[in-house]
Amino acid sequence: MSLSQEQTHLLLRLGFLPRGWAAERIQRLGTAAFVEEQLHPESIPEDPEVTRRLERLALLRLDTHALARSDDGESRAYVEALRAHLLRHSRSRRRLAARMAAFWAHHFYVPADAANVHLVDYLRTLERHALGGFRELLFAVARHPAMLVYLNNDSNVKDHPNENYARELLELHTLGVDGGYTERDVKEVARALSGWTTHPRTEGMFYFDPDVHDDGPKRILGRAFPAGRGIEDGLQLLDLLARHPSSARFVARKLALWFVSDDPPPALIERLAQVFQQERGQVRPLLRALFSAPEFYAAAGARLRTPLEFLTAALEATGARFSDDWRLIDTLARLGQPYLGWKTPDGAPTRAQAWASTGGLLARWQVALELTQEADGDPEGGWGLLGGLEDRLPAAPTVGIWVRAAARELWGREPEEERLALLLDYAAEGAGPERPLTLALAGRKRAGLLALLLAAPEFQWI
Amino acid sequence: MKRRNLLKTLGVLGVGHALLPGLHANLAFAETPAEVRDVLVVVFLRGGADGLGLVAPYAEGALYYDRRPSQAVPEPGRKGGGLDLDGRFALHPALAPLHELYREGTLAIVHAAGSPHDTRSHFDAQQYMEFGTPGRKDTRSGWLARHLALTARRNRSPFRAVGFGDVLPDSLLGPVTPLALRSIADFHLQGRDGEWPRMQRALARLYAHQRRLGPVAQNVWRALERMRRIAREPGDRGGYPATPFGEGLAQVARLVRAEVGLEVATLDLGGWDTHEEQGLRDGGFAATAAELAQGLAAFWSGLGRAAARVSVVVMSEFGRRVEENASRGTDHGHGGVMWLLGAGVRGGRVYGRWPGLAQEALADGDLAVTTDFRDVLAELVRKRLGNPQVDQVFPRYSPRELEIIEGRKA
Repeated sequence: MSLSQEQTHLLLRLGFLPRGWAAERIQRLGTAAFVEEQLHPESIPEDPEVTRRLERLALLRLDTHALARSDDGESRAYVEALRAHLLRHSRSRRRLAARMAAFWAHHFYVPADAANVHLVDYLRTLERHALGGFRELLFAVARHPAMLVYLNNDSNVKDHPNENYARELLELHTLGVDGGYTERDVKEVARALSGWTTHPRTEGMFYFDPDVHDDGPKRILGRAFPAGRGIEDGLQLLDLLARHPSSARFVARKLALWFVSDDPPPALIERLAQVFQQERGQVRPLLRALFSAPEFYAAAGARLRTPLEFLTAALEATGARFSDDWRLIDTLARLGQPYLGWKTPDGAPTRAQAWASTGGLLARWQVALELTQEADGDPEGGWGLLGGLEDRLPAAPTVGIWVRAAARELWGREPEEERLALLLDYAAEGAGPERPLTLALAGRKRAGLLALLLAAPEFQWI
Repeated sequence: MKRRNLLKTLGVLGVGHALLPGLHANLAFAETPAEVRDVLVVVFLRGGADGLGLVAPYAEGALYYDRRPSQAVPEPGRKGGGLDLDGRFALHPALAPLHELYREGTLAIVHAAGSPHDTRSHFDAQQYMEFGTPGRKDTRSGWLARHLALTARRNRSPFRAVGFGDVLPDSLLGPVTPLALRSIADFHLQGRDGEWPRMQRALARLYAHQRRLGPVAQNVWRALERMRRIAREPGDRGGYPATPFGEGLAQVARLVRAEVGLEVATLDLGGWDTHEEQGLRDGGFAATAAELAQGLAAFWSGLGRAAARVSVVVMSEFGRRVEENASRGTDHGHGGVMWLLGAGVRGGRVYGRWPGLAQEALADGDLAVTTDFRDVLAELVRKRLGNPQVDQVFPRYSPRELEIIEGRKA
């Protein structure tokens, strides 16, 4: 038995490579049950190595106050958060949960340097609700110090409204820029949220300050907000936004950009938006609908991996690990996507055009070479990379079978005839597919073959 | 078929970009001599730079100073005061290096410039500006990319358009594959000895006929070859700030001097979204302003004789509110400042109709926009970039030139 095209596609879009545990599991359970299991990550026995390595990231379990007290806490925690991200996206069996947590960190984006010491708790908050409900996420984000501080709502007061959060709340978090609100709505939303701040009284966490709340009557999206209701203004506002049809459509579209393609079919977005509304913003039914949609399965090869997705997939393919923090951080910077480093609240783009640049492609080729050639058999790890490729490629009697099997595992399909010939020109040194794969030949060629497979167009498009 | 019709047919001007990669190959063979245009350097100040803090309208008196109790540039002559430009405006003192270029006549300033669209959203404002089509989101290509497509010629250099930074700006989105560059030294590719020649051949062929990434890959190979050569040439003069912006400018100067076919370079300088603790006089804002001025001045002197064929434009998505907020910062505003630096610039003047800061002159509490940013860019495109087709670079717009720039001498 082997993976169907649909199963391969699903695995790739969930962030797996089509091999190993995930490939066996989806064949054993069938596609629908596999998705269902992924929707309940706590039911999946985790890879013990993942559990062990995550446990070592101790700062990620500290609360914000403890982190603030620890020496250089926020930058060390940033590196741990990055390492947790890589581990969850390259090795964890609970891959969909990780992909969804990353999606919400993209949707409710706060750059790491702006979130600062609040980053770890912010990411934990998003993870907790990643497969839950949009309404809960929206409420949690609106009251989280990372967002309050980043978009300046903590200084949004009656006499000097600061509209930064109000605007992004409408434009980026809920309705979308074409969602039917006006400049006047933005100003009214800022008034409704005036006084939503942080305070020493709550140790820097959320605090509603009635003294600076604008308690006059408001009108938002055609609804009257009566005077004198204090924090209720903001709660009613968030509730209104969470249930608004524009929010349903906007979140559905964003999810489709994340999982389907740069130009998702409008019919799919409409259906997902309906599910979103019927199910009151619950994420699981939305994902069930998405992963059973024909439009989803019709989009194979239509999405370019972002640089971060490229790196996690390449790490899964090679088993390489960064033993040096700076090497890791620099690698992502060269690829063009520092972790949570995008500078504006719209979050890093997912569309291919944003990443299909000359420098970006060169960096992918460089990283493909580094992860394979440098990491293979360097016990010193002197360059900040550890790895060994002995067991990364399937065993095979001939080079032809070897190359085809390797492509299946990394690309999710066998190379077309003439492309196979290009790979064989390298791996068999022109001797053709029947050349026997000796230990010596495999040892000499495995790093180069892996590098080529990682650098090829077939690995960039999923 | 004429080129402009081709562009229309393929939809560069608004339909979509699915067909565009093919266009790249065709246009690369069009002919125009290389010498007819300047290298254009576009510096985008991300976040909405406070034009009223960079070029202070000190002659407005109380209308300026009362609304900016802590975030204003003091009058010239006072402690920490601005550098007078023309009796109306003064440069922030941290911009002293630019003041010299202004007095020499190579730097011009346009005040109350910006986009006619009233959005106060960073993303919309930046995208409208970089697409060159305020109010329209369906454009899907940047103004620089359209200019490059319209002027494509025998220049097949991968360095026609270089974006410095991690991600390419929206102004370069389009049919000509630009290069995103961090540093010349990073630009090399090498596999294991012995294995690499065969690997390199396979890799090149794997990308040979790829519809979307194929042209990008071709640019990688060409760029690698050129970079190998440039890296051997002598280094830069000093004076650049030790920041990504300063380093980016130094690399642009190097590419200009090396004559690699560079036509357009874009750089970003962030740090302008100063909602809180702006630090106009001696904090964060002053430091960012100093970085801008020091970088541009070092760039200009580092160009040497090549400066005769370089134009620089500095812009931002909007200015900031006239009145400072309770956090000693300023919120998103409207009118801002544009800067032009170049051999062809009639500098030493502040251009644009000044609307004033009287309450009735403001646009929703903000400095009004009296000069459309396209007026400035269009003049540059026509007079210095040898491209008369400004109606394609800025579709559905008739620019009103301010006569800031001299044409190139043939």
